[in-house]
Amino acid sequence: MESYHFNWNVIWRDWDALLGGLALGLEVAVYSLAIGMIIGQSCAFMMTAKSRLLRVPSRVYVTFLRNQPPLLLLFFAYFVLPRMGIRLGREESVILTLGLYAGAQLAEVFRGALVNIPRGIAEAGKSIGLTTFRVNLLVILPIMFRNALPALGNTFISLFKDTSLAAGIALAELTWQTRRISTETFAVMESWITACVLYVVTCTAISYALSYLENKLRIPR
Amino acid sequence: MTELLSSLTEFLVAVRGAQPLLLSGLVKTAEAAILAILLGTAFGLIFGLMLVYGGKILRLAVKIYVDVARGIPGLVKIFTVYYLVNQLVIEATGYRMSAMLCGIIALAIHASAQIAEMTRGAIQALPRGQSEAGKAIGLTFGQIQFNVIFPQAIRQILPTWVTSAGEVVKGTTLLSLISVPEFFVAIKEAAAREYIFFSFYLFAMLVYFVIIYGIELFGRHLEARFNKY
Amino acid sequence: MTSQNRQTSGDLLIIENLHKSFGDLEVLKGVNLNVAPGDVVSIIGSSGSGKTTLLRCINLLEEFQAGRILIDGDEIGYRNSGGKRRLMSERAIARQRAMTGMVFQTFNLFPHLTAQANVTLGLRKVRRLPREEANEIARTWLARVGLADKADSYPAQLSGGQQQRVGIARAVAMSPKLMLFDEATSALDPELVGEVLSVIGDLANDGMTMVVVTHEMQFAREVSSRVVFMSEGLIGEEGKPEALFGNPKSQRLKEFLSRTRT
Repeated sequence: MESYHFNWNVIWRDWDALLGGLALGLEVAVYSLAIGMIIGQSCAFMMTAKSRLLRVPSRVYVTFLRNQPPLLLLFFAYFVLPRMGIRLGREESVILTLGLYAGAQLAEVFRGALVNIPRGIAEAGKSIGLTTFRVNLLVILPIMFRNALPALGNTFISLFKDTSLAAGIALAELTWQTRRISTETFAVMESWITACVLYVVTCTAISYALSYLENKLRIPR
Repeated sequence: MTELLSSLTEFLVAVRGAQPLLLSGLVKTAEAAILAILLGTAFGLIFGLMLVYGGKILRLAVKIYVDVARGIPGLVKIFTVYYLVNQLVIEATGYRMSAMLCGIIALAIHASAQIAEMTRGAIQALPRGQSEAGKAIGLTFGQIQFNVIFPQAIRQILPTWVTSAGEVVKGTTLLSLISVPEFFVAIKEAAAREYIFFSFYLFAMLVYFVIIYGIELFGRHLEARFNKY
Repeated sequence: MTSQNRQTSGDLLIIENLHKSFGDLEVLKGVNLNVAPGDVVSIIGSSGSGKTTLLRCINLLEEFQAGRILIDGDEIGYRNSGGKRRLMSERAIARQRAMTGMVFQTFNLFPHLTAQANVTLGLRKVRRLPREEANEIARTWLARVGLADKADSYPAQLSGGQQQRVGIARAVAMSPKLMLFDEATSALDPELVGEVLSVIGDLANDGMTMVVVTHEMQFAREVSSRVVFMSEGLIGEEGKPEALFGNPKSQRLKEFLSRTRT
């Protein structure tokens, strides 16, 4: 076997496709996070509710989904659901799958953030005449959200990394683009080095951006 | 009701037909997961110790390894090892690593980075006095680690270690994308062959749930035992 | 018949035969208490005597099994429907809670809101005042409790005494008919107790009707118009502060006072 020759031109030629794939991954991660947050917060309230009718189903959902391989869920959404008459596009499948999966993870995060709020805070809300619903909406939810901020940031980074699974159903995000370049051009080194660098740089950048955001949104002390 | 029952029977017959395929897939999954967890744990602990006790340069090197490994998605790690590292190995030795080996290495790298980080955290969370007390009674560095530090740190590490082990099991499904014939591949093949999709996928979900949740429950059981003191 | 008389007696707060249990444990065993407008009633007693529970029942933070509580002639919390005692709707209870202001031992400020926003939340969302008016009222009350310059501070940036004064401003800004203080100074460092007590004292001098659960005997003696001694879920003794402290009748109260003085 002859020795390897680097040819970075194949990367520059497809640079736009790579960056486009990166952007697509970020977009998918943002939508999934939005879905995950709605599900996670609802489940957190349900899991801490008095009624078993709320607690049991939410607990089952969270425990089951949290312990699933996301790739299996994604294939289920993209390949099996259409056979049952539910047809989703590639991007929709990924967003739905990661959203449901993140929802289960975030439910635990939000539940932790919720039970950490002293009971007296809710009582204070009631004592000025707010109904339980409005106490939750105006007082508990904002505090819970801020308590959960650091974990929320980590979840977003995980979600972004998990968007690489979309390569499995041929969504043209960064991992898929990289694999395409690497198999089309045999520039194995260049393509995967580029992908790794792009992912690491993006994750680092997100993590700095999030800690900046966290500092801004954190309750001042 | 009868329809449900007949489709269930049909599925059970299909599972029985696909039994050898499914079992060999499950064995592959177990092999990959166990080896990756063992390797990942061993290297994770070593790297963790390096992060705490290493010199400046060693610490920096390991820190870069951990940060890079954590910044790259699991699937990209698998592809990178499968395509890129394999290329390097071929050039150096002429030997081509199997897809399975590549997958195990990638999963182990993933786990080692997580475990290194939590080992560092757990050891640094212990009061300094612990290792000083060990020194004071004349224990060597190794003896202090094994008799004083690890037994205490393990309580801290255990919950996150369990999460990492679960993640490795989830990660084995990614090996299907580099054609390792593990359980998910077996499920897909069986489903396509028998033309029963929903049931086979649901079956796969249940199997993975039992494994991953089982690890979590086992971890909790261990935690309860370690929490005695 | 007697209850009819009491209802028209002009008392702001009427508690009749109040019973409250937590599971098997009966905490209030038939409490009767009347508070006239402008009264400042201090409730004293050892811990476990039921005084905090009594206060929380008045604010409907606790449900109670029997008895009635009337505020300004309205029975609160429960209604009679077909001879059965029923808890009122959530909305009705919330409305009734707004009639009383509660100050908590642990302050319970909303940690994500500034001092001013803590005060305006109820004004805007319960009393539905426009933003400007709510801010105006909040600033007035924060100034009254000596925190005009802390309006934009968050609870975690304030001392315990300052937090509790915000808590008082939050409650009193709703213009309640009745203020309830639940050991408002117990969680404070000793050097911060004074600033909070003086704010409560000012409110009392302004004619606010108050029920104050307290461990501060000095304060109870100086500020209250009446002192109630609770013991084992019942009112053991009540009267003017001079009489109660100067000439305790029951053995229990004598023991309690001798313990708290040392």
